[in-house]
Amino acid sequence: MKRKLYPLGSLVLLLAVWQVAVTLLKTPAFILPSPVAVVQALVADAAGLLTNSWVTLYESLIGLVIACLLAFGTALVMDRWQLLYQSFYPLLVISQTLPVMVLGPLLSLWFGFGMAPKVILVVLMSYFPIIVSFSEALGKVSKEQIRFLQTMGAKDWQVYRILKIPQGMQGFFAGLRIAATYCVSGAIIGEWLSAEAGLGYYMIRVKNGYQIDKVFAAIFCVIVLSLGLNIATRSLQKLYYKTLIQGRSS
Amino acid sequence: MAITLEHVGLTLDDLEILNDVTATINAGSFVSLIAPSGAGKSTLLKILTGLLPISTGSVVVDGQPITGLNTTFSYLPQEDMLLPWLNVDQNITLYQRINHQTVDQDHVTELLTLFGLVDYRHFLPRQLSGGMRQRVALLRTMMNPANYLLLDEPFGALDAMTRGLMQDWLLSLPTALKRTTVLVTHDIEEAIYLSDRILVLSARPAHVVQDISLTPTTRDREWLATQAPLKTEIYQLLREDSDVK
Repeated sequence: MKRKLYPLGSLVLLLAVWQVAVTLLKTPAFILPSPVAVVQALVADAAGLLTNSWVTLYESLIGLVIACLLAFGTALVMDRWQLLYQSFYPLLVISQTLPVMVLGPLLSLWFGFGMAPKVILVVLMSYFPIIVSFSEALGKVSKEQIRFLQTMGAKDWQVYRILKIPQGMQGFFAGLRIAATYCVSGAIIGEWLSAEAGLGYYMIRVKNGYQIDKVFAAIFCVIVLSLGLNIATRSLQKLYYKTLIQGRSS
Repeated sequence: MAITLEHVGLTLDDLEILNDVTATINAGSFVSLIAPSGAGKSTLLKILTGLLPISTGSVVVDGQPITGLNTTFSYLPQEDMLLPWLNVDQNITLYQRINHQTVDQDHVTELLTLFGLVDYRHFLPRQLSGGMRQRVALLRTMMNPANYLLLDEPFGALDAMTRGLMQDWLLSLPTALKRTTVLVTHDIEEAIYLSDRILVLSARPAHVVQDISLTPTTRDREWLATQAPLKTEIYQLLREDSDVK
């Protein structure tokens, strides 16, 4: 309990310092609004923020699910056929050095102004952490344990079902937790470039109107979405292992 | 029914590990392999299961040559290899699940009772003590219907007290459960206490230096205490061949 109270206390302290600084320095609201003003903006435009948050969440979730499926499949294929792993894995690692957001303008050009370029951007940002983490976890499964199962007559697919996938899923979920945070950023960047709805679009619109308190309110929503997805991922991991244990006992 | 090793040799990366190992292990016997540390005892078991190929000689089991990975043996490696997300019940019936065989629940309950695990059948490995984990691993080995058991230092990681209890318990198992067993151990007393025969191997490259038969009328701790001269003899044999003098 104490461990949770410490960061909470630090946050309250930071907000208090921010509030006092803005009040004492009389900072103009279009430069830096006070936390109280941000809360007021959040309440005043709750409906608009909620609608736009839903759009961003929808794009993020679709992209994240596609990235999960792609990463899961490709990691298994690469693990099974080592030639593919040796041919493509180094490229995957190198490709992570490319900031994916620079592809945003190209995606808009190729896929228009609808949801597709945002979802693709989310997929690109989420795919790499998941596949890298999952591939590495699959590769770390003990050879001794694999051979041990084979001495019991386990076929290749059984080794994956019984051992490699359950063990590798720890890596999968570790990657997914990172991706869950990235994916909202991906959707926001996509919306900055071209959109008619979403938190990114909302932020650009209110910024152009010098409503900085609403920009901060939108940032708050982004934080809540990222945090929510991160917590959901942890819950999913717990559910997976719970189901795995219960499922095997039937 | 027998395991026959004839002039078995193994060289890995220019390192000669086994040289001219010749031995016959008859059906129904309990044979221990004992050797100086790093001599290649576990390697011999890996050869039998087909995890390692031999360089020279032949390995024949029940008239069939061993040429690769096979399911002739029920193998218990040094680590218990329990799957952490499976409970005791699921871990011990792994063989049946892999081979799509029906699990006779009454038989499983009977064995769990015999192994002192019936109250823990729904526990995960992390909830068990070292001795209990080892019993689960041993029961999983027993659940494999293969005629031959290969046990690679099954009690090596346990403390002296638990190891002693596990040895007593292994001896107390009903004859029906006992099968031809090859035990790899570094513990001379354990080898004497449990085996019908002890094969003493030399240091690397390993070969059989002594074949000792044991046929006591009663096998208990008192009898074991009288075997001090044999223990010394084996110790001397190992010491002569050990790198550490």
